[in-house]
Amino acid sequence: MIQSAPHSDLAIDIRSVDKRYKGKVHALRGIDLTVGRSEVFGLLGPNGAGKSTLVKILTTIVRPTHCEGRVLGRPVGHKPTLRTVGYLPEHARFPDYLTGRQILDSAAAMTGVSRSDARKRIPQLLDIVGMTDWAKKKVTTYSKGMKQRIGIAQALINDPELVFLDEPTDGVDPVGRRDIRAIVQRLRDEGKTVFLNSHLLSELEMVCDRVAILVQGRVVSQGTIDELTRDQGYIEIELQAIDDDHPHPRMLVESSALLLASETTPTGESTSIVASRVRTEFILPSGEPVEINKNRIRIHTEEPGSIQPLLDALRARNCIIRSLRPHRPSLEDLFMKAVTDPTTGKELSPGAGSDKPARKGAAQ
Amino acid sequence: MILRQTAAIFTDAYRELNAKKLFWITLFFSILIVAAYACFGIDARGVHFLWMTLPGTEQYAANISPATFFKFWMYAVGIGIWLTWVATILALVSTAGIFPDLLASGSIDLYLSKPISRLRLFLTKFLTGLLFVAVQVGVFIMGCILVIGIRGGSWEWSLLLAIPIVLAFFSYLYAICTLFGILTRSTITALLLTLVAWMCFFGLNSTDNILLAVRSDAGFNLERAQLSASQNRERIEILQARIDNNTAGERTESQLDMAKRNLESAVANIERHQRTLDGVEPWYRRVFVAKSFFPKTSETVALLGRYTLDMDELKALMPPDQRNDVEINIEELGYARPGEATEAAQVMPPNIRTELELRSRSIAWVLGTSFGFTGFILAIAAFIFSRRDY
Repeated sequence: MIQSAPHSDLAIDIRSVDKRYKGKVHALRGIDLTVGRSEVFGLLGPNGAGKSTLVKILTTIVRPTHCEGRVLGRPVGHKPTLRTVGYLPEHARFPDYLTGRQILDSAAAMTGVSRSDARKRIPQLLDIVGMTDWAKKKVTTYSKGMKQRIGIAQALINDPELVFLDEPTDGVDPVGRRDIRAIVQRLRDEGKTVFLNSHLLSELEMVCDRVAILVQGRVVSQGTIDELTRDQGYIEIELQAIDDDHPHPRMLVESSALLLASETTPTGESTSIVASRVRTEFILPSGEPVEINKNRIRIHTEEPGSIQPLLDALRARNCIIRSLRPHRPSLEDLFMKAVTDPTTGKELSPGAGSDKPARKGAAQ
Repeated sequence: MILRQTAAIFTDAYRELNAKKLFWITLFFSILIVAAYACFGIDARGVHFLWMTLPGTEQYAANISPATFFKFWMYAVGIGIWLTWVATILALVSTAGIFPDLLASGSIDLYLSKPISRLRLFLTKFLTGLLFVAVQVGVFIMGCILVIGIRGGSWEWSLLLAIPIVLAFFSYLYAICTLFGILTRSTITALLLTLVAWMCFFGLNSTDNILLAVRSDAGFNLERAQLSASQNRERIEILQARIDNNTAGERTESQLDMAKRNLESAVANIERHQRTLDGVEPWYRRVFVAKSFFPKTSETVALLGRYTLDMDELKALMPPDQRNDVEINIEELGYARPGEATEAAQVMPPNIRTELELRSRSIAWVLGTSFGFTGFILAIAAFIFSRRDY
């Protein structure tokens, strides 16, 4: 029997995880990560970012070059802890000669589930993943989606406290994805911790409580989706197309801003301070940056009150406002921002082999 | 939990074997060979196959008992050819994929993420590979015991030793196959490299056998020449004494000359065979020492012969000119007068010398050094398996 682990609110609490493969590929570079209990945590990153390597370290498949911290209160690499851990690897490969039921039987035995518990649990899991009718058929007859479903079932056979699902929706049709999301939500409701690795950002966004973005072996962002997107929203105003009767928005904004500045600074404060041009951006007197692109004006604020003076100024100059749209960045936006080199504006090279540091984001 | 995990891995291995056509094909042929074996019979009239008597086997049948006949053919063909060559190759083909398949991405992850140590996983998987051979050999040997019991009239339960012996033999090769499988992760490469290694062991063993045969032959000829020289010296003394005592007959002088020529020839042969023996001995020792570091596949299988066929039974199966000691007797040349006959001497024939030399090699040497090699190879394989990232 596994001895009870010291209680912690964290299912995963790791620091300075480093992995350098023998081929000198530096896959992970000092990962610090925490995952709370009963949390659905999503790890996203481009191909070769080190997502699977990190999960493999946590499940003892890969040996870290350096690793501090704990999984379920036990040091990383503690084999008996795996009795309470479930894992679906990316591209799980099951022997063709086994049936779905036999795979679950085997997984139950390997994780130390008693025969009587396995007999009860296997039909339940087959039902949950929708494979009851296929349980006695050999894996060779399964579609990829079916294999994923059986893979998820085997990951849950030991009623784990912590489940790692590496690309669980890979090769699964939309109905299957919905079912897998439902399973993940069910696990969360049962108080399990789910660690999801996925390329499919929308999948993560729908089910994850917290996410981390991994780029070139480093965690560049980590937090709840709210935390990560906070203060990154903007309001976009689209004006009527430009013609001779309607001056360029840049000029409009500049003049509006100056006007606003003069209106809001009765003390005679210098307008160059309150509405100064910062490169190609402007800053409203209330402090929000403004970007202008042709007939679109983007104000970096989620506060509607901040844009009212600007709207008034635009309307006072007879500008026709075609649309006004508040925008909150999606996970994809965050992801794309994380994988873009801020100096060149190009995507960072995939993989983890480069020694060039990845950009550090906020909300660590 | 350890037992449950081990049982699960073995159950999976059984299912895998069950799914492999080659397993059933091999088993089918094993049963077919036992059935064919049961069709033979032997009695005073000769050797029979079903209702037919094989021509020219009367004398052969007169020398051996039915039990010896069946044991010998089981040993020579059933084990010597079928189990240690054909079935072994089929077993290697069937089991070579166990580790490469296990190490495939997506498969090894499922095992390593379970609460089982890598070393235990490795050893259990290795043992599942031996399961293939254990089942095949078990079925074959039980069939053979039944045939020998029913047709030969002797229940030879000691033949069950064939199961661990053939398993030991297979384990030498399978350890190599496992190492190559882990290193290359390729079934076909592991299989081919194992066959190459096997051929190397076979070559080393053949070299040893050839050198041993040359050594036995040279020893036989040397001993024969020495006896001949000794008898001729004795004869020369007698003939010389006759001449000295004036009791020589008409042919005494010529007999003395012939004896002297024979002595010279014998002395020359002694020198020649001694040179051969001196030349072969260092090579024989070197090969013997080299063999000590490698698995002795043929000698391991031959252990069964030691236990199932004693020397008398083995001699009974040999042609008369090869099984009996060779008599060295100068009297056949007609030299002696009554009361002067030189005592005949016996010299052991080369093939019996070779067999005795092989049987004199201790089991500890045959199995101990082979298992030492296997253990070393397995230790390397286990180390790589345990330390590698997947």
